[in-house]
Amino acid sequence: MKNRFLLLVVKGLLVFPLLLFGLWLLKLVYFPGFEAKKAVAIIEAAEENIFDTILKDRQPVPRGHFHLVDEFVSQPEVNPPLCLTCHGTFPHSKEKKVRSLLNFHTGFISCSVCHARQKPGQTGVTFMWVDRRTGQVVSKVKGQYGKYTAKIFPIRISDSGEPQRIFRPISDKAARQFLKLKDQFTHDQVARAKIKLHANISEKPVFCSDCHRKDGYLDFAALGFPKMRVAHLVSTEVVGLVNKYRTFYMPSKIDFGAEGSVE
Amino acid sequence: MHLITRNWIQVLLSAGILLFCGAGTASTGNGIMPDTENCLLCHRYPAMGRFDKTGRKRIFYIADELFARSVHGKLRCKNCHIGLDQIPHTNVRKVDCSTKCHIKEPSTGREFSHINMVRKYEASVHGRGAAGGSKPFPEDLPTCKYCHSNRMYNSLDGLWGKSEALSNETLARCVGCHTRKEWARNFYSHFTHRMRRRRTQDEVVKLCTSCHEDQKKMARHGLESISTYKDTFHWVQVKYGVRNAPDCLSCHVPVGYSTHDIRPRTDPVSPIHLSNRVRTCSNQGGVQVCHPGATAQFASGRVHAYGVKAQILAGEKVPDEQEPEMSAVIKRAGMDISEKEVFHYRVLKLLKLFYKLLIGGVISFMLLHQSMHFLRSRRKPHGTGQAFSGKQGGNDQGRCG
Repeated sequence: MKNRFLLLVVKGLLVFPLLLFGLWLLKLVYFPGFEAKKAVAIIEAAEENIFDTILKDRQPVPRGHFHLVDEFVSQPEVNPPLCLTCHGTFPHSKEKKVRSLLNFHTGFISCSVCHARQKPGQTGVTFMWVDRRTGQVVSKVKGQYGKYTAKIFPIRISDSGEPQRIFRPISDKAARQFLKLKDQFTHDQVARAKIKLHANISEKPVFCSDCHRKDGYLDFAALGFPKMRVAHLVSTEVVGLVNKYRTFYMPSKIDFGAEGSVE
Repeated sequence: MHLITRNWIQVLLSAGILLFCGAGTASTGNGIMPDTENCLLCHRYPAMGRFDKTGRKRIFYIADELFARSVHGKLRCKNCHIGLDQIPHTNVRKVDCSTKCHIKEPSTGREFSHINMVRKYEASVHGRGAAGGSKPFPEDLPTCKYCHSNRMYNSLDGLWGKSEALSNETLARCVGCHTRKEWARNFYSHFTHRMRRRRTQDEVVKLCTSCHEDQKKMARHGLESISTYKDTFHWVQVKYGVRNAPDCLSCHVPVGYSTHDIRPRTDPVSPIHLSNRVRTCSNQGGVQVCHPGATAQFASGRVHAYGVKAQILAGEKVPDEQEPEMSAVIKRAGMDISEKEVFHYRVLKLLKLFYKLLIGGVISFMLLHQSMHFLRSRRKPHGTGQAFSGKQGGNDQGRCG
């Protein structure tokens, strides 16, 4: 009885792959366009709307970019600011003259550093480097000119000055919940939820000249920048550039589109 | 007096800066980019960029070390980005590759520019036409950047060793006479860079495919899509990585032709014009010899598979004439495919059907046979309580015992 069963299993194992192979061949012969049609259907679906180019372009470096880029252009990190999920990797777009300059800061400064301004004299939060790979607060950082192994975050500290955790003005949990549920919300609910989510975002963010000056908002020396680099960051070269921009742009408040985005 | 002293200090400082910048320029090739305008003050940051008003992602980051080792590594930013004088950059002009970039072209001593290539390209099938052009759907035509990026100089893999070691050995011989090491390195890099294929066969097909697989785009210009190539033995060879397999350029840009000057097959200059095909298929005078014994009859054969045009002419496909994409295809179908070819297409279709039936029949018979054999092997012989195979086994065992 046992032998019969084993024989049946062996025969089944022999016949089953042959059957599958036969079915696959039949599909290949009689339905060659099956896979191709699926791909075409995706492209056609994209072509029917205005997002066709966007949907096809999934690379971090777009097609037709001329200058060579290295791995720093898209660095992975364990604590990516959730803000980027909605606002993208280049979140500043409104003010033409400064948007690119502000955007390059996102490579080494988390959004909350500038957009959740700490009030003067406020304690409990300080700025520290957080390693991209480990997510741990670190004091030594490798790299230069935005190509750092860590990113500056606001860190909650204990009374004794020990770092505790990253200070997040928007609850990650709430933001994720919103992203999950937003399709079920009405337009008005989306608008209200956005206002709620951004409640702790400063109306007036930290601007270039707040940091790039002597005794500015960020203490470059405390963050570990070498003396020469600190001197450069507050030097006439950088400050002069910043002032030049200042004459063009003085943000009175940042509009996150809570009212205007639901149309 | 005080003013004069200050002016002298400014002059000396400027001279110092210029000397410093000159040193930077001279160091190109050793990984230092000539940045006399200090563009890197901002552009060295990797996250610099924005989305433009068309929704395109623009990356403004310059990887300076890579740039210095690239084919444009000797140029300053403003050699190409002309007139970029203001900060913030509100006066940005589009880069024009035909601009003279203040580099001396050594064979003539004149200022270098890509104008020759640009002129050829504009007159080619991909260009807008010699005089600014009036081609339909100009937005479909590729620009320089569509195919070209600022590539790195790569050393040549040679007979005697791999890139780096070979470069060192060869350069050691060069600098005996050509004493400016930096010049010799640049010359060597440029020369050896041009000796290599820029792209593999697969990469070439991918590049061409990125436009030519778009059926609607091709139809707007009266063309078939790339699927007519992908139904050929040429493509199968490329697909499976056969060395020297024929990609698009092998036939459309053989030795002696330029990728910037691809012409329609009706143009007597084109390598795929009937009068030039024997040479294109056979000995092109280059490294690759594909069909050395090609005859005129062989070369006049169809290379790409039949596509939509043949289907239209054979009456299998009735395109919507109102559809703007199809009108150009309908118009060109009669010109591109002769009646004889339509007959060939019909015969081929019948052959395909025959093979489909044959293969399907064989597979079906095999399936039926295997299934029946399986059932038979499990069937219990009449009048016994044992399975057929079991009884056989029992008998065998009995005989052996």
